[in-house]
Amino acid sequence: MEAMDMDVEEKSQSQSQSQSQSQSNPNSFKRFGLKNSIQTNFGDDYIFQIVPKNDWTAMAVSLSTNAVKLYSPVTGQYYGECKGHSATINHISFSDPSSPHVLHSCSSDGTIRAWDTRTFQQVSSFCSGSSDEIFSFSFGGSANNLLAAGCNSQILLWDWRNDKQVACLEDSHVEDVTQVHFIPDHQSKLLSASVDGLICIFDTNGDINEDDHLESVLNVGTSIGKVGFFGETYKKLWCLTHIETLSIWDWKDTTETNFQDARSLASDSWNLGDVDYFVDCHYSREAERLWVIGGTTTGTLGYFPVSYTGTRAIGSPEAVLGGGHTGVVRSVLPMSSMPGAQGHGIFGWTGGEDGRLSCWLSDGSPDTINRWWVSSELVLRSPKILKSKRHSPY
Amino acid sequence: MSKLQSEALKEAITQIRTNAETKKRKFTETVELQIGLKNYDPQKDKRFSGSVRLPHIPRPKMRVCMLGDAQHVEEAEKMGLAYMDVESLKKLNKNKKLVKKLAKKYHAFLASEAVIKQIPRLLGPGLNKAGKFPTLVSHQESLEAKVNETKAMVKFQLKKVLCMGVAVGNLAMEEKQIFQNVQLSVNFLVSLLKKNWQNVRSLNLKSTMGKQSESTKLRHFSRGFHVVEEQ
Repeated sequence: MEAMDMDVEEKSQSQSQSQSQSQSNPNSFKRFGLKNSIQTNFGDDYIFQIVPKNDWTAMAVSLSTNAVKLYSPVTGQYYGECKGHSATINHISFSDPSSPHVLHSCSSDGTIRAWDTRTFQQVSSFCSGSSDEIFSFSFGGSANNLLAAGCNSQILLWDWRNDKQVACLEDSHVEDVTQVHFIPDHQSKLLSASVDGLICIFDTNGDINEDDHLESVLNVGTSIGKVGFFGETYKKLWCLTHIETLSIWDWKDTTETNFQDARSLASDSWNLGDVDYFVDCHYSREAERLWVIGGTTTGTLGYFPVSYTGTRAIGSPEAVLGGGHTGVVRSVLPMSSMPGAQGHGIFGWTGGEDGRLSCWLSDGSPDTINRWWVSSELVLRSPKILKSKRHSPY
Repeated sequence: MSKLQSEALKEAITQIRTNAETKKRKFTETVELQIGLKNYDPQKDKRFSGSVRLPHIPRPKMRVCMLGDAQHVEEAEKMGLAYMDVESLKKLNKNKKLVKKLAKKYHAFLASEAVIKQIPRLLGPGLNKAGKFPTLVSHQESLEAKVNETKAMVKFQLKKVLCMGVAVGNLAMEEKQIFQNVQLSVNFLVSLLKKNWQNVRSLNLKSTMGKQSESTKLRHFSRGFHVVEEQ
């Protein structure tokens, strides 16, 4: 309760701050300071994804070297590396609340592996059974016993308690399944998204078969890259495609707001060049607002607010992360619950095709990179607030 | 801002036409744009796949079927568009063979809002499996425009190799229409590549029966064909 009050207070502060800023400055967005930058490798390797451990004592970073490296999200200290995959790692996640040290990863080598992030050893592995590439996975089910995976154009379901495959859904998609997610607050429902342009929703209760368990289909019409749930009861869905379009769906009544021109809308809303791609979306439950995170090929990122009810619009960026990267940014790990909540410690981490891991401060002073002791003091001064946000980072 | 030279493109289209006319075929040849990439790694770079809507319909003979509510069925009937209502979909009884037969009969489907929600329940995953799940058409938009829009969509997908083809037109089209389709496709595809034109190794235009060696190079870096670097 206390934490919530603080958030509200902070929000109003930041609003008045940005208002006063917009009066004096034609660019009313907040530029974030770069705290530090870590080179994750010495070759041409990319960072694909950054994910937090549930208690935020570590973050895992997947690389194009087929390895996962672990770092401290507070200090950036390197902890160690999980090696074993023999092809591209497509998705990583700390999924299991009952074993918080275990990280899962799936790969084009056809396996989902579990790693103990204290010893960096592999502890178990699921095989797709053939040379199928695994692009995504999710833990869920009404008894919390299911592991779903997108393998080529199929969706495989295992009961992870006894390693038995319980279903193979092969008729719903005709191209690679890039995303599977058990829907938060609706743990028996499984959503899948594919290069074929379809999003399918299945009920995973009982004996799963496609004829009876395919509940609804949303036709996005073009190859789907990433989707995420948001809103009260998670009934809304954002969807980013490989042609850099954005659409917002209500997955229950299958209605859609489409931003075919998302890139040009975002590009027109700032003067920092063309927005070439989108990395992710960010939702604040407190503010009930959605941002799409867009970037330039030279590595500048912006948080663009998305209006999807009433007038369809992508507004001017409310946060800009510039100077941290020299290539395409592939992943954003937000540490505060909303980009407007400045002034308290670390805003988040970003990683991309330059192999660099960059840490951003909510403190907006432009020369923070040279004042990182001051910056880390800021982090230490507000542990309470950081902690309160860590419970619901999204 | 396009680095695709208009003159080179016009020349290429005329050349394909001329080549095709020397030996007439019994069907309308498709015009395919072939794009070869460089400095692109399928293992780690973002996927290059999706759909693009062209200004002119590349496949006019595409058969579209309307899975409509009462109002859309009536409109479809007036337009001479094939249609099915919910009752006739119910008769398929989720029978896999019948759904497959329906999917084979048409190239694409449209569906009214009230019908599209029922498709998984009425037909199972059959239309998904055929890659032909319907596109939603609302009562606020023109059905005819939606049909044309559906016909003008083309898919592209780069797989494990660094080249791919997109069907952008046919030889029954006017040269100007082919020109506009190629231009839009090239600019769109290039805009999705992180190094834009620096990721393009080659661009070729080819008709279905045109010989590979005769396929017209719009741009080839190593030999410097028809290339003028702007900027």
